[in-house]
Amino acid sequence: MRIKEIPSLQEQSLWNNFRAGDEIAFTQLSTRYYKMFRHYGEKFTTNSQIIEDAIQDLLVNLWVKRTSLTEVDSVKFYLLKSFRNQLFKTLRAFSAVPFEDDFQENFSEASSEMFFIENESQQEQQSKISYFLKQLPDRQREILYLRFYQDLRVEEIAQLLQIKPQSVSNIIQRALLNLRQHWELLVPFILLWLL
Amino acid sequence: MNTKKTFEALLEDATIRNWVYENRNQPTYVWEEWARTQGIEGVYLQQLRVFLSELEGEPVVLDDNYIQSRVQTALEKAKSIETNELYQVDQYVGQPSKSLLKIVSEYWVAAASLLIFVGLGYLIYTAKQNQPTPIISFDQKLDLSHQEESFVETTNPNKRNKMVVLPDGSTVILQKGSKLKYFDSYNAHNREVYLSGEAFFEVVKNPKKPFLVFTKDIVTKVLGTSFTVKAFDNDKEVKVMVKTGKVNVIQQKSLNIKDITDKADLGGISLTANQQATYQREEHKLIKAELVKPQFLALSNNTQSFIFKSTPISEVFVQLSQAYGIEIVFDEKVMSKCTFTATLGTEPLDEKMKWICAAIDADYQVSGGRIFVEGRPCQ
Repeated sequence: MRIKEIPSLQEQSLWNNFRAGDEIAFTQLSTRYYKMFRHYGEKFTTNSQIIEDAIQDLLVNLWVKRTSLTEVDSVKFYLLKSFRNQLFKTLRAFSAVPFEDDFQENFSEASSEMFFIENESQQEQQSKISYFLKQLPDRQREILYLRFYQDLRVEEIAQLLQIKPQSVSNIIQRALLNLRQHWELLVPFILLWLL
Repeated sequence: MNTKKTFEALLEDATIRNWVYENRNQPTYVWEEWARTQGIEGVYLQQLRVFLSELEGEPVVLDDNYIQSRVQTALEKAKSIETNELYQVDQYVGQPSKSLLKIVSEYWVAAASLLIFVGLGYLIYTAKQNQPTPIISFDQKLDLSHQEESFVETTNPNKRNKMVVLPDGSTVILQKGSKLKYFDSYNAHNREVYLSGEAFFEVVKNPKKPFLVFTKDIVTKVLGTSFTVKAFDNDKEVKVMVKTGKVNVIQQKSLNIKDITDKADLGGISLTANQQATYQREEHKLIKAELVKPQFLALSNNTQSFIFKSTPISEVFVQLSQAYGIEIVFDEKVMSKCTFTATLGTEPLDEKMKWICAAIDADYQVSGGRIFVEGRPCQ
């Protein structure tokens, strides 16, 4: 799910050991990132079998081509990127319909209640924000997810989605501005909650 | 206002995001205290919390053992692909050499993906063909069910219980950290559910369609009754506790799929009210015992019935809410004059709610595991 960067030295040495054919390093890396793959994947499809297949293929491929892998700045970023590519491949293979890489409405059902909802005004806010995020274009939603949930840098997101870093920044700014306007409507509820 | 950080600035701050994600389940005062030390305004605190939560969406609930085994499978598959290729090229050329390895590494991608593709196709093919397999494992069951489109999975990451109403009207009270999968169609051949964790079941009677609860090691079969299954993946024991009716418990590996519908009794052991079965994972033993004391207050085996005589409706809801550990949301003021008279027994919570709502001319629905009642004033 949400992976905080561990001290990069440790991560780098795991990565290098894995490239040198260390099975334990491979197992540790895969186990560590498994839930992150699943979480990212669930933003694109509700079919968990497809996600599981994509993860499986990714892991198999990683091991088989370990010797041709190079050093990377961020293991997490490299894996997220590889997973995204693999997932799209798997999705295309599974669906006869031409596939567009949409970061779909799958995004957070109303039932998502990870955070304690103590009262109705908070609940109200939650559903409004949920609505706000759902009506954002897929790409914008994915960018917000990558930036603020997965902690990717703007440059990394740009590379991942193959757009200019400046575009990523612009999209984030625009989305947040949108959100702020959306929020003005919510403020009375929030104040009520504080009283 | 000027000295304080804007919402955008807070959101850009990785340390703040980390704190929010890591302390999501802390009580409100902890949040307020933290906001004070950070100089974050209350309004922004709420915004951050809600925004980040919505960004995260549904959490991933996966068992560590499952992940381990999937990673292991991938590694083995990868290694077998490597040896297979070397072996094949080997035979073709006659003698392995260094340059050979190079050829192999150039073609591995194509070959590997072909193998995976064929392998996948084979798996799906066999899964579809193998309907009459005599023995089914929990994992196989889950794999099969993945392919059913009408399959629904629900998890409860929250502290409070979550109510799930199955298509046949049976009710499941899902405890914290538990996961349930079920067929979303009443016409499904069997009434099968898959549980990881703990849940209380109230099953609608239907002798023609047995109700089956699959957990990793044991299967519980009933026709119509109420009972609890406690099967967290990491616990040493799996428990089935019966409140009412008769329940059949059997080890997963000794289950014959044909027997599920054909035989009333699957072998294994039979339990009646206030008895429990314990499966010890390490010893693979299934033991039957009297239920000494109920495991949890809410769904206590002592609460056999609810007797209401002109009881104010708020009191009725409070009692049900406490017994099941399920939140019932209703407008106390609107329904202040409503009362309810009846004795409610072992019928599923969903059915209880139907009766009550019919009596006071109200509607109700289950959303996010909670019950919302919309009532009208009574005379």
